[in-house]
Amino acid sequence: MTKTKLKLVPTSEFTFEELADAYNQTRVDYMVPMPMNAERLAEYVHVYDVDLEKSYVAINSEQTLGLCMLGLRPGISWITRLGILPIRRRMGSGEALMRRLLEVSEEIDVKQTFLEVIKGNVPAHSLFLKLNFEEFRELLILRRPPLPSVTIPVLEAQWVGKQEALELLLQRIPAQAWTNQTKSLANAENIYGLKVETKDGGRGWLVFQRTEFNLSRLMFHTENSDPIELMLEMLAHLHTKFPNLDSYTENIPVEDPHFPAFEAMGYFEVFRRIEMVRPT
Amino acid sequence: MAKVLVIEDVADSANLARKILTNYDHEVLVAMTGSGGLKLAIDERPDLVLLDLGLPDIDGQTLLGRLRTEAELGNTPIILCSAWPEEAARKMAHAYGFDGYISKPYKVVKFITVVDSHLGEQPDNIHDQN
Ligand SMILES: CC(C)(COP(=O)(O)OP(=O)(O)OC[C@H]1O[C@@H](n2cnc3c(N)ncnc32)[C@H](O)[C@@H]1OP(=O)(O)O)[C@@H](O)C(=O)NCCC(=O)NCCS
Repeated sequence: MTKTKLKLVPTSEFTFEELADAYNQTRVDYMVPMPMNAERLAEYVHVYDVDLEKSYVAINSEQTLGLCMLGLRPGISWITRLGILPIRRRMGSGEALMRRLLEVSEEIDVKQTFLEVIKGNVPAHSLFLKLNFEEFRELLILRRPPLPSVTIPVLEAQWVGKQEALELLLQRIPAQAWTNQTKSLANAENIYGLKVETKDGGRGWLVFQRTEFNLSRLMFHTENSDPIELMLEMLAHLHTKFPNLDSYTENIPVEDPHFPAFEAMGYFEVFRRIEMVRPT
Repeated sequence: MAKVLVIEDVADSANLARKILTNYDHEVLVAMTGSGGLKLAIDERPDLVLLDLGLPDIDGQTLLGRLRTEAELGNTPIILCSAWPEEAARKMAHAYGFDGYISKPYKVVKFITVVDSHLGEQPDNIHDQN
């Protein structure tokens, strides 16, 4: 197979329209197509701390071949939005983009680089293994159509705004996937939370994003109590208050003990991702 | 003849859907974004909507909920069209209350059979068209 003569140009030299267009074209045949417009991409870049000067578009003399973006937070980096046009695959462009982002990460003292790949995406998974990424854990993507809650909450809930919600998130042991880290939620708009307490000292909180049509980014914690019961209680509050909102939450580790409460509340697994990590 | 709204962001898929539907004498409206699709659905009141899950501005599931809240569209069949793995797509169609499901890439006979079954029509020239 002949290698394409390619040039890597920082994404900061393109408009969000151009980047969204390139991204969508690389994903037309993707197993779970999730196209973006410029506005969504700009929000994505902001929420996930994507550094557009350290992210790249691969081009050859005639056209854009693909792109790949790098998120940066203290000591760690995250590779995202990788895609190559279907007719330009298997010519080394994907690997070249990845290698550039890994080099950039090394240059700026990053200790670990993370990424996620949809389970079953063999080309991407093989590429990441080739570049010495290791599987770290499996993550669930859950979804729930708009439905009233079938469970009536018993405990009282205290609803909180973004500031307090972020303080709740800081109580977590920081082991979340990039999209769910406290910094992602701090960067996002419309973040709220709720807290519940049981008579015998059990406590739980749920943080979420609420937009016009959706509830998303559900983050949660329970202590001194049955995680499933307390989670069910919090979800019952959430969906009783917002019965008409479509809900989804991403990148919840498969072994999370709260998962049965989500199922009981009508959430279902849409697909899984594999989180991978590479020490720099 | 029925009025069919295709909400689909990939030009090739939208064009193929348009071609098949036109061949079967349906009137076709195409929107390449969710917001455009919502507007066309409200303004034009189609007899059937073909809705892609992955749209650049709002996802198909959320748009379905939005369409369902429009009183005039309450009884309009909405068919999920998706390239997602079949099991996941069917699960989604069922959970969200889509009226039907067509997998992508489109197969002409399957496509028109599903469309016409939701319009209460029998496709009469299927073999010539396949
Ligand atoms: C994954 C993707 C970016 C790879 O890009 P590419 O330019 O075709 O890949 P390269 O030619 O640089 O291949 C590099 C390595 O990737 C792996 N690879 C790429 N395509 C593969 C395939 N179809 N099957 C198995 N391994 C494959 C191989 O390890 C290959 O190394 P090799 O040539 O020594 O065998 C491309 O397939 C793509 O855009 N897919 C759709 C979008 C996507 O899945 N993005 C990743 C989301 S996490």
